[in-house]
Amino acid sequence: MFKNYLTTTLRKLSRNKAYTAINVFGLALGITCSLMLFLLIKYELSFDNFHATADRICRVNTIYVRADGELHDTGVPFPFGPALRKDFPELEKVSMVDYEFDGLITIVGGDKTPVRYHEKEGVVFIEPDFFDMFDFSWIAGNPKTLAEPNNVALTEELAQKFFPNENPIGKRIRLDNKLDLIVSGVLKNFPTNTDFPFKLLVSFITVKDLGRDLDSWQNTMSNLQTYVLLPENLSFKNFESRLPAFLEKYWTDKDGVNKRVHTVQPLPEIHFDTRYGVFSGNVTSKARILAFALIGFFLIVTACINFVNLATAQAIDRSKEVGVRKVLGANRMQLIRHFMGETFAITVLAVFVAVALNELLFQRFAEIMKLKMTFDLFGDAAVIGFLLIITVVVSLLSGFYPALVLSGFQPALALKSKSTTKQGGGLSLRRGLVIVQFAISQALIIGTLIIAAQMDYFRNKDLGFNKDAIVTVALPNRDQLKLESLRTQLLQNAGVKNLSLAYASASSGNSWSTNYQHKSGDQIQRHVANVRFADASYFETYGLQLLAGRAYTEGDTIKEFVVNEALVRQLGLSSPEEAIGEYLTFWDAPAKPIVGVVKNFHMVSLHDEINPCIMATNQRVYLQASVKINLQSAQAALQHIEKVWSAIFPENVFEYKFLDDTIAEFYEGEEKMSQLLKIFAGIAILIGCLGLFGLVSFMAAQRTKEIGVRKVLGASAGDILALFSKEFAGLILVAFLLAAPIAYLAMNDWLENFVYRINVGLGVFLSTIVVTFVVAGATVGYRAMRSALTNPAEALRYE
Amino acid sequence: MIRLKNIFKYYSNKFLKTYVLQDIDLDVQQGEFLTIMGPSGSGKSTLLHIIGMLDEPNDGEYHFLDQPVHKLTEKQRSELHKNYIGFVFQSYHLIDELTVYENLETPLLYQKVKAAERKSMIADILDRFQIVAKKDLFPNQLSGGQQQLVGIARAVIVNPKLILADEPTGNLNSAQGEEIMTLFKKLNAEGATIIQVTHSEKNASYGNRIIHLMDGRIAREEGGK
Repeated sequence: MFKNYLTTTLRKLSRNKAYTAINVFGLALGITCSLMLFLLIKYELSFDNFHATADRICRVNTIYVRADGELHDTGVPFPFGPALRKDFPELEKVSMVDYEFDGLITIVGGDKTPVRYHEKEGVVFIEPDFFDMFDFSWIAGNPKTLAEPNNVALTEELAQKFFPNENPIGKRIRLDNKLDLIVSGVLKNFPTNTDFPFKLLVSFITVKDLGRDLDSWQNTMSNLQTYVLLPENLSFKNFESRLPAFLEKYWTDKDGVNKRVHTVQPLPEIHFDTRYGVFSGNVTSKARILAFALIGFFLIVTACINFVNLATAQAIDRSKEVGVRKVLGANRMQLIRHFMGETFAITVLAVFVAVALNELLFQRFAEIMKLKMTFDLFGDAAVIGFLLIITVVVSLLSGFYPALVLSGFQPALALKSKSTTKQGGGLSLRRGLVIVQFAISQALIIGTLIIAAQMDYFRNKDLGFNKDAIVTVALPNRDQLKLESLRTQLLQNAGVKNLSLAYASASSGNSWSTNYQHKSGDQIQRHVANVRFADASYFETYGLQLLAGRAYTEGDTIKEFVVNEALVRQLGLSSPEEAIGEYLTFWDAPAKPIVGVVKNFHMVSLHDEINPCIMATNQRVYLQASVKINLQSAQAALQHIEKVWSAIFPENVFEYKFLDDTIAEFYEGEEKMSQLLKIFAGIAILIGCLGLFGLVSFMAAQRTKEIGVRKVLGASAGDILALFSKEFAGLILVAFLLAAPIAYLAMNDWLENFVYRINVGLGVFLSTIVVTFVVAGATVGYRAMRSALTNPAEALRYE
Repeated sequence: MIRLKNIFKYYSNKFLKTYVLQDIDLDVQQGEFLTIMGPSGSGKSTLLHIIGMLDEPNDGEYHFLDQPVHKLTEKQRSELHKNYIGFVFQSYHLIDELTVYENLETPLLYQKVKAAERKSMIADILDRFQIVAKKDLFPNQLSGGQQQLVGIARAVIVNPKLILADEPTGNLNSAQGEEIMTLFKKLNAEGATIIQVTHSEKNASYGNRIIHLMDGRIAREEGGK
């Protein structure tokens, strides 16, 4: 029996090659996308779930409570960890982690010339306890060595890079030209699905040599974090409830402005909480994961709808077979099984094609998503499971209805080929399905267009400064002579238009906020503001616009202030002019006057508001040089910068970055989403069009006679075309009315993520409907044209 | 064998009922070769389909081998039908995707005949109809007469007590038609009850009883007991 079904099925498929191809390809596309999204979701959900005690590990966070809202920080003060150990002896493990991101590594080996590497990620100061909580395995040495100062452990990758084919243990490296370290251990490379992407792990105690303020409870830095392994009988909530008293006990140097509380965040939540950050920089909200899942689901649904549409459309062709089989004694169940089997065969075929497509395209997809994911079909039980479930669900979803319709044919009618559209499952149902398909496609298009518009807004919004042709290079040290010589030498080249040394470029992920005091009358007001230390040429280099007063004069220390409009407002003043001459003070330094007010500029990404900002000179914190170059001679200018820089800082590795690129990186997450949506919207449309094509073909076949008669009566090809177009134009419009409000609401929700955002205009919706009409029109038109041009005599002969 | 009593069949179109069969009473004995004749639209095929359980009357009683068909469930009817009735059509209705061999096998599969037995039954029928050489061909590689031969072979392979033929020679030339009718005659002689629908007096002459339908009623009867 089965063999008989299989033969009919296979022969049927190979006979109707176009039908099979449309079906298999459409399904395969849908399955490919959902498989990709499944792997993506699985990857995101797998972050740090492989540690044996993951459900008992937590991070202690800080929330600053301010008048204008809460500020979430992942950091704690330096003495936090040791104090925890002392006051909570029941905690199983406590480890402080100070992540430095990058570092300059110098390999000093005997009399060889030193080799330098700039490691852009993975440099961390860490305590041995960390390895009792997290399952990262050691190949040589052991975590205990990290209890000693100046010890460092390397991952295999770095060990191999620094000391190719040598035993790294006992070798010496220098970090940032400051710390001499001895390699005491080698770790297995950390997996890609961890938010702790460490490569070079220095014993935490070594931090002392960096001159950090190890005793103050006043400041937190987001990269200095504490991880705790709770005993089994202590809940996160319970632990958290005891932290206020703990903080009260130790935080004695309070200044009264900052109120803060410490919260406990379980490890499994860290990867998904966008309020906080992770070392890997890859926080993915649950909402985004849900969006991925929905897109995957919708793509599968469109693909299934295609299938149902094509299969029921084909029903007429198959009515004879159904009739014959019934006459020969088949009962309905047997026929349902038969047709379901056929769907199953097509689905299996599609799954194979999808797996092949994934093999081809998955790496590309991972690159677009900037994730280190891999596709391993047989090494991963979950993938096999997913494919099996997809096969079954898709077979049922898309096979059941057609099977029900086909098997329900009255044999007597079926044999006379009198099974009409009505029996073929109702044109209205198929119309409904096409509407759903187009609604999905259009919703995705609207989403894509809105994200693209927002991205465009990011790129083109006036940031309040001129970001063009600015190259940033790091300043490895703040030696006054060196900085002066850098400035003079760089400006000697005609390609360099201007130059500013500062704490950070005008727009940067690196912000520094502090408390300051403002004396108005007898009262002393306390506020929090960003500080941006920069030399006097900052204003000219970035083209900042002064609204009142003047730019401050050059100096090595804090002499005068320039503030932004937001700070004027914070002070409660009504115009920039009023701010001139006001005195501000912070860090217990003598008060200095405000000499100028600058127009608000975006110091951070457009996700966030422009905060009050104080600008001043302060040479000892300059970390970056911003060089405005002449783009006509960019190459020469860059070479000049490299030559000068390398001569002044011979112990460092030269690297430069265009400010444009830095700013573009702020929106990497959105860029990824945008790319993803573009691809999937495209595929949804493609699948929809495949189905539409099938449906029109079917309608054309159904109406061959009608078209013949109409042509005999004098209808032109255009009239026939209109006949088809009218039908589908209606469907698309209905789909649009469904998709537009849903997509609008969803995207508005997304736009809420940004303080600075576009207004969704009519244009997006108009473009969507135009795009759908053009694409669907081309699909329908092509097929309809063919039947419109058929010789009517031929069309009528069939009856 | 077959007893039809007050059979009505109509199609409703809003408030208008179009009668296809009206008040048909008919008895058919085992071993008869009955011909149903009548002009187009007189209800011949519908009657045949009702007898073959492919269609249901709107009213009336139908007893087949003493079982009240009108009271049976679809499943029971399907059992009766597949065990006792073979169908032959004007346009053969072979399954295009299957070879001659596989077409012959299909009814056996639905009757859950074992593989070995199937093989011998098919070999037997191929031999009897002298179409062994054609067994691996597809329907569209055969002439009309040959296709109808396969169609009949497929109908009789399960040894049905009743063979229903709907204008079996309608698409054939006269030589092929004669061959097919001779075959029916032979099957009847071997014990099968046959009911055929035809326009042709000549074909009718192969049978032993004729009923004439007119506007859904039995107008007259010839032959028989």
